[in-house]
This record gives sequence, C-alpha cells and structure tokens, in this order.
Amino acid sequence: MGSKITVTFGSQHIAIPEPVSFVFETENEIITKVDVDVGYVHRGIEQAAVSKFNFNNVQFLLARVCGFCSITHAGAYIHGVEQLLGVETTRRADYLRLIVTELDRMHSHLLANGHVAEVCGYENLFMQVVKYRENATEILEAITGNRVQYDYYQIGGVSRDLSPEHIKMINAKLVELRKNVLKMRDFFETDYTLGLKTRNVGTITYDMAKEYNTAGPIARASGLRMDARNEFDFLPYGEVGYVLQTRTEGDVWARNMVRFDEVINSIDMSLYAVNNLPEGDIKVKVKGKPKGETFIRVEAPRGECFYYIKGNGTKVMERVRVRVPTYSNIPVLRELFVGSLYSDAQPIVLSFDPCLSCTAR
Amino acid sequence: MVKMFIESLKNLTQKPATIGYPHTPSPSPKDYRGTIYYQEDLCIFCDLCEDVCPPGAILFEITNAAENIREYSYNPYLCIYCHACVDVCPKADEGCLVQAETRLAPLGRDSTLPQDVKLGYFMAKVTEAKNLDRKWDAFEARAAQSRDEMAEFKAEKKRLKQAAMKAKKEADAKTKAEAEAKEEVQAEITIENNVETKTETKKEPTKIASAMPQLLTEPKDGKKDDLTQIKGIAEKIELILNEKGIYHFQQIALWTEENIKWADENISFVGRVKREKWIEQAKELLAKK
Repeated sequence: MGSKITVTFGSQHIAIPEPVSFVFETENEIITKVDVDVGYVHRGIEQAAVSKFNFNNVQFLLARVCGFCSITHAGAYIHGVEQLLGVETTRRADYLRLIVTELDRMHSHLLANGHVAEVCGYENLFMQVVKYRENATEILEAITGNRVQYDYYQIGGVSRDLSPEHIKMINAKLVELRKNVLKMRDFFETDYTLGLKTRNVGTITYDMAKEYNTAGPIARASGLRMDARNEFDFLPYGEVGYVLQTRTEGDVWARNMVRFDEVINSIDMSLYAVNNLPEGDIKVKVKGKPKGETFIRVEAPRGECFYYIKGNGTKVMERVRVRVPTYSNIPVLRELFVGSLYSDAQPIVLSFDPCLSCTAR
Repeated sequence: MVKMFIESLKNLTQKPATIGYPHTPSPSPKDYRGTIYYQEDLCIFCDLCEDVCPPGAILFEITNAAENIREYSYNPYLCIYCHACVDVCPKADEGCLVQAETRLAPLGRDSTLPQDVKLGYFMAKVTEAKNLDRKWDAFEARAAQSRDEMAEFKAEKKRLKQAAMKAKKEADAKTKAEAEAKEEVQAEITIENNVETKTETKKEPTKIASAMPQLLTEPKDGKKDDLTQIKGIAEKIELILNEKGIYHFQQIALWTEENIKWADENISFVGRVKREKWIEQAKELLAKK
C-alpha cells in the first residue's frame, strides 16, 4: 500500500466544461475522501431579479442563468407569473412552448452523452454526436431567432409563430435526427471499449437514489420513477405521447441510455405536436401585477427545477428562489467517488451532466 | 466497436460537416434576432422601449427641456437582442424600431465602429472603439442628469403656474372686495379706474399665447392637399388636422409662433411642429405646386 496522495480535479479541468472543484484523497488509484466546491460562478442573479428588473423583464435575466436550460428557467418563472396573474394561455401557445422545450432537451442530452464518450477517450464518437445534434440546434435557431438564448416564452404566450415552411423543415430534420439518434444509441449500447469505461462504473442503487434525493435522468437510470413532466400539466405532455423512461442498472451506461431514450421520446412528442398544432392566437393580453406567492416544478434536461416566486403587487418581485437539479445531485456524486478508481472520476462527473452555472447562479 | 469503425471510415471519405469560415461566410438564417435600427421621424417619443430594455441599452437624452426635444441613443454592444423593445413599440409595424437579421461584428480594440444614423445619436458621435464602455457610462450619467433637469423644469413650470393662479385669485378677491366697497360707499372713482386698467393688461398675454390659425370649414375648391407629403405627418395626424379645419399647405406655411403653440396644444406632441420643420416643408411643397 502506498501513502495517500491528494489530487485536485478542477476548478479548471480539461474534462469538465464548467468550474467545479473536487479535491480527492487517493490511496494508489482508489479515492478515499473527496471535497466539493460548487460556488465558482456565483453572479447574484436571485438578488438582481428582485432589485434591478421589473417583473416582465426577469425572464430575460433568468434565461441567462445557463445556456442549456435557458428555456426551462424562463419557462418556470413565466408559469409562476401566469399563475399569480390568473392568465390562461391558448392551446397553440402551449404546444409551441412544448416543442421548443423538448428541442432544448434533445440537444442538451445529446451533448451530455457526447461528453461522456469524449472523456472516455472516444473523441470520434463525440464528434459524431455533435454533428447529429446540429439538426436540433438549427431548428431552434430557425424558429426562435437564436441558437442559445431563445427568449421564446413571454408572459401570456410565445414570441413567434410557426409558418408552414418551418413545419416542413422541422419534420424533415427531426425524422433525420431520429434515425441518427437510433444509430448513436446502438453505438453506445453495444460498443465494447466504451462499455469497459461505462458499464458497472459509478453505480447508484435504487435505495441510494431515493435516500440521496437525486433528480432527473440520474434518478431514472436507477429505476426511480420521477419526472416533473409526469406530475404537472403546465405543458400538454399527456396529449402528445409522453412516456416515462427508466432503466434499472444505475451506472454511467444506464444514464446515457436513459438520455437517448428521452431524446427519442422528445422527438416523437415534437413531431406529434408540430403536425397537430391547434389553431388560435399565440399570445393573450395580460394586465395587472403579480401578487401572492407560488411554487413551480418543471423538468429541466438535468432533472427537476424548482422555483418559488413571491410578488407584492408592485412592478418588482419580492422573492425569486431557484433550486436547480444539479444541486440535489451533488451529494450522491460525492458519495459515489469514495471507493472508485480515479480514472473513472471523469466519466462519473460527466454522466451527471453537471450544470454549475445553474447551481451557483 | 466494428460498427463505429466502419462509420468512421465512411466519414473519412465524406465532405466535412463544418463550413470553411472565414473563407466561406457563415450562413445567416431568416428571422435571426440582430441589431435594432431606429427611425426618428416615425418616433412618437413614448419612451416605452427605454423602460422595457433589460440591460438599458436604449436611452433617451433630453437635449432641450423647454421644448421637450429627446434624442435616441442605442448601444449595440450592450444589447442582448431579446426583441422586447420591438414588441413594445407602438409604431414597430411602420418601421420605427426594426430588428435586423444580422448582428454587428463583435467589438475589438481597433475595430471600426459602424456609422449609421439609424443606430442613434450616441453611436453617431463616437468614432473610436477604444473606451466605448466608459463613454457609454458617461453618457448614461448625462442622460440621467437631463432627466433630473427635465423634472426640475416641470416642477418650476408647475410652481409658476400655481403662483400665477394664486395671484389671479387674490386680484379677483381684491377687485370683488373693492367693488363691494364701492357699492357701499359710491365714491373714489379714480381707484376703480386704476384696477380696471390693471386687469386688462393682465388678460392680454394669455390670449396671445395660443392663437388659432386660419381654419376652414371645408377645403378650398373642394379639393384638399395631401398633407402626408410633409415628413412627420402620418395619416392619423392628417385626419386630426382635417377635423380641425386645416386642408392646405398654404395654411401651415402661414403659421406664426402663436399658431405653433396652438398646434402643440391641440394636435400633436409638444415640439413636433418645430422639430420636424412642418412649416419649412409646407413652404417647399407649396413652391413645388
């Protein structure tokens, strides 16, 4: 047995796209102790939301919390404000919101899976995934006007409508994407070398997932049947064919598989929604200022996102509290490292798809 | 593993999925959210865009408080391209605020700044990219100061108005009391004469302040001029003018200072006639005719 060595992983590390710091204490290759610091990108967004911005502008601020979940943050806030104002959106607006939210989930999941392949040393597969992912981002750019900051949700509806050309284009690209994602899933499922790095690595059991209060694809990969899309009807998931995806293995491989399954489901839902768009306006007029308090739970790509908002009848909100999925996934991540190989640390972190910008805000 | 290997070999023979930027230009998608362009002659100075802009990239500086003249300024490097200002603009359909489909190039230390009137007064004045942020900060402070000056000016105006009202009331009360006294005493005619002359001189300036121009009940020869040819008069304002009895360029060309004040009070937003030079335009159009 060798002596103990301290290895730092982050805050800047080539494997992780965002600043998070892990300090491992290792014995030979085995990690025995771990310290986590997630607060590197704190920007004071919650305070800015209640001091610098009017309530009808806060969604632009919250969308910039994080590039990947921008639609979820803005969406959660706007669902809350609409609840406080008593606004009923039209069915067409709901469908359009659903399409954009699911497209966002698709490209986020695909990139997360690609990153896992990349840190396992399989850069070729990563490039392949990113190449196919481009279809989803191109659709988003065409229908919202930007690749990352969609600013699509507005209080009372959405900012733009879909034209017949858009629908034609979305259909063509999504069908192509579906074919490619099935091919990708096959690679991830059957690849022998990738399997060596991902199968039976970082396994979370069902009990562990329940005890540590995990969220999102991480929980579903361990067989925990939880999804905010299943519980709340802010968006018409019941009508478009939503299916809860679970796996039971609980390792890195299962998390990837759950994400692929969800991408396929999202594509099916989007295709149905695009081809069965209800007629009507995309926006209703909104009057008044929010008063009272409410909480919202929506499913971000990384898991359940919780919003608590409180208005006092003035232009500025009194409180906007954000609790993001990565925050609830950190404890189990910490537990998972102890006893695993140091070389497995990168795939484990990336399989959690951590979003530190959201976590620190 | 074998499948991916075959796929990789296929990729080797395929065209690259990326584009050869900067040798080939990056494709610009339709309806992309880009730079905001502004047209002053369509603006009604409602300030809604300034209020709604999340980063505060749109600012109006009040250059003349007395005539309420505002200048639009926009910082494209502060803009987050969220489209909120265009959504809120009441004249967006006519082209007052428009979002272009391309963005300006990112700001570098030596980059040349775009010179476009439609980007507003701030970008027209700034020529060097160096210290643009600092210049914008200084401009922000100046705009805020102009707001304060405007508020002061308004408060002063209100105070003067109230003082005038008060003085008038006191004078009225005085004349009333004196008249009563006169009735009772039936004497001292000289004082009464003095008071009368005083009140007469007081009334005259208020009368002149907003004199009505020459108005017609119907157009001469039954044929009216197309007033929308004057820049700044849209169809809606033309309707209002026609209702009031103004049908011809000649009528506008003959307006005096007092007539302009009347127009400010009765037709349009304050200062608009002067700012958009309606009278000069009307004279030109009249000469062309």
